[in-house]
Amino acid sequence: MHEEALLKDIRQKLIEESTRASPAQIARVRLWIGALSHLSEDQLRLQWPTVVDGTPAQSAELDVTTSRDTTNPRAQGLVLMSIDVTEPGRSPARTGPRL
Amino acid sequence: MTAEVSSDGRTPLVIGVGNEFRGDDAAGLLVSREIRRSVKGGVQVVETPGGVSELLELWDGRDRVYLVDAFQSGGAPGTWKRLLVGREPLPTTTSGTSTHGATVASAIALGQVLDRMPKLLVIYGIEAGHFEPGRDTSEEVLMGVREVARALGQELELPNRKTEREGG
Amino acid sequence: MSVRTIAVDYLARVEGEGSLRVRVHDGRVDDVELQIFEPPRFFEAFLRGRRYSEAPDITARICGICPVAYQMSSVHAMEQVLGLRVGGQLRALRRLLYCGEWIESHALHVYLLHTPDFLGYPDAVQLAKDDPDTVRRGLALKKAGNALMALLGGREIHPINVRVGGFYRVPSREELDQIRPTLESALDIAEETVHFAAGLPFPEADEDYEFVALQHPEEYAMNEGEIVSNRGLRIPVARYDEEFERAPVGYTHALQSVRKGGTPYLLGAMARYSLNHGQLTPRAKAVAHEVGLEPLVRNPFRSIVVRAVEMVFACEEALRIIAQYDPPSDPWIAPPDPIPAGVGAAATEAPRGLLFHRYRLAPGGQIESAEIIAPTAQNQKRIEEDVRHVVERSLALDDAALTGMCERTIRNHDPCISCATHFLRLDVERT
Repeated sequence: MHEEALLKDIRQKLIEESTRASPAQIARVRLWIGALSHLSEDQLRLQWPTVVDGTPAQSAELDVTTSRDTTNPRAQGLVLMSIDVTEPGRSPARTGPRL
Repeated sequence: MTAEVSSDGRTPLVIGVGNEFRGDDAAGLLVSREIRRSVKGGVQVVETPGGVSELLELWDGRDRVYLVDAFQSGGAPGTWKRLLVGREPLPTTTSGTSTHGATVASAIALGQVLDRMPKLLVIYGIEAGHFEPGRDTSEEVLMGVREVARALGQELELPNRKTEREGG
Repeated sequence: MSVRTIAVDYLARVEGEGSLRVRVHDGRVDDVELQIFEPPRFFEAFLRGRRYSEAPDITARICGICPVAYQMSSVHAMEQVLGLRVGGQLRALRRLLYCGEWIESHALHVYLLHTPDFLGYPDAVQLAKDDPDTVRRGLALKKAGNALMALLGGREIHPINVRVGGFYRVPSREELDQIRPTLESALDIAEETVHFAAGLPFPEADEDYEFVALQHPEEYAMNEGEIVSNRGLRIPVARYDEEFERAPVGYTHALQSVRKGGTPYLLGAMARYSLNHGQLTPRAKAVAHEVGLEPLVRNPFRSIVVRAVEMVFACEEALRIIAQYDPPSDPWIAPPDPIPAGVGAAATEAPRGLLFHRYRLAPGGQIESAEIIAPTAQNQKRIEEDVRHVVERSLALDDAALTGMCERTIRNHDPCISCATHFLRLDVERT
């Protein structure tokens, strides 16, 4: 239950992030699992297709880092570190704020 | 620091609501500390983690109460609102994580039913991003804290000046 | 087409602080899963590396409702390591402070959270619209408890006056005398509360609990005693680990407290009352008898009556301590120099039940490790059993009514505030 709720939240965040910039596809998602998290990488990978199904991250690659630092203040948490987005029609030189 | 509260109902009271160990939840406390530092005299400042009956105790019989709290309504973290209770609808807290967000609303509802409201209750709500234990308050929210402290500080000074003018 | 990396750095969170999922298949309860957010785990990490003397202030912040319990378990555990024995009037003052917390916490639960359940209101606000006097009684009781906490703790929400070895400042005779009228009237209200609670309509339930609580030879245990149960357990607190364990549940990495061997147990007012009712104060005993409260309470819905009886006890006990108060010459016993290394464990009776703390100190007084086992976490598995039984008995109800029944069942055991105030997520799945 706890895990599902967490992953549902990550899904929400992915959708939010991808719509923030422009119509974008997410190519890569990097997640960080705290050392005291209830979640393991295996569980996460098992559930991942459901999490991203129907979102712009549906075909994204998943990178997972599992922390071993139990003293990290986020040690109980699951963190969405960063995403790579592909944006059609925009060159790298023009990634500044849109007008 | 509720023990400091005197029974004089005329002194304006600033209530900072929050939990300093839960990220942006500290916003209300940080504003109240800023007020304590910057506004000299004539104001009482208390901090509380919330609680329906605690809030009723604090504000009952008061003329003017200013409550500062973090809330989540889906807006950008650090943005803030000023609300005059009784005239404007309260922001609905969408997150269950903000236990006292709902507490403030319940305290107002109960205070209205039991006739235990201050004459004036103003709420400054700062939009929070996260309430995660052990995380620092975010930069955006700290910015909001400074803005609210300034706005509230000015609001607290105004009636004093007015009284001075009227008196002199 | 371009690729860019967006740093999100977003910590996933769960809406609400607890959840309950019940799966019913073919008219049978398949699975009950209660998840409760556990702030102590963060605080355990936070305490590492801190001074021993900081533990009471830091742990007091774990719970806004029962800060004194966290302070008490932490100071007793530290005093074990330091070899300090706090007795006499300082010990009595700690008990007095704890009485304040029991009164305020029970008043909150009985009137603002539990009573609306029995009278069919969604919350105390709706109840107050029809019956303001009932809610006012609760607020008056809570105020009396808060007044005690403010007087002894320095302030009522996050008391700051408690320290390892005693207090920073002790009250004068006059200060304690001033609070007597408040407590005398609170005692009357508490008695009235017992009659009121006993008259509420109770759903049927009969649970075969293993009750666990502290027991002390001379008093209704709060700060000290052996850990006992109604199934013959009797151990000193230091042997907690030999009889209790935290076992992983199912596929999650969450831990649940159980007796060694895997059986659940119950802490809190019902456990204390059932094990120690012979040591209650005279008026508490008398009123429990008047309303016909059985010596072993097995219907969890009747815990509201037990909490009311404990409020009578706490008011009487507070008045007794105040009457016998003789201000000690020193507000504390100074720690030894240098601070020795070692391990200290202690348990005290939080309003919700036995709260266990254990610390390991390095030479000089730095905390090497901290372990805090809160009552709600220990009750979790037993609450799941209650839920399972209530669902089995109530399958005929529609989903909304069944969910409501589950929520009430959890609230019977006064889980820590975040879950008690309707923030629990409930899912009943029927297939």
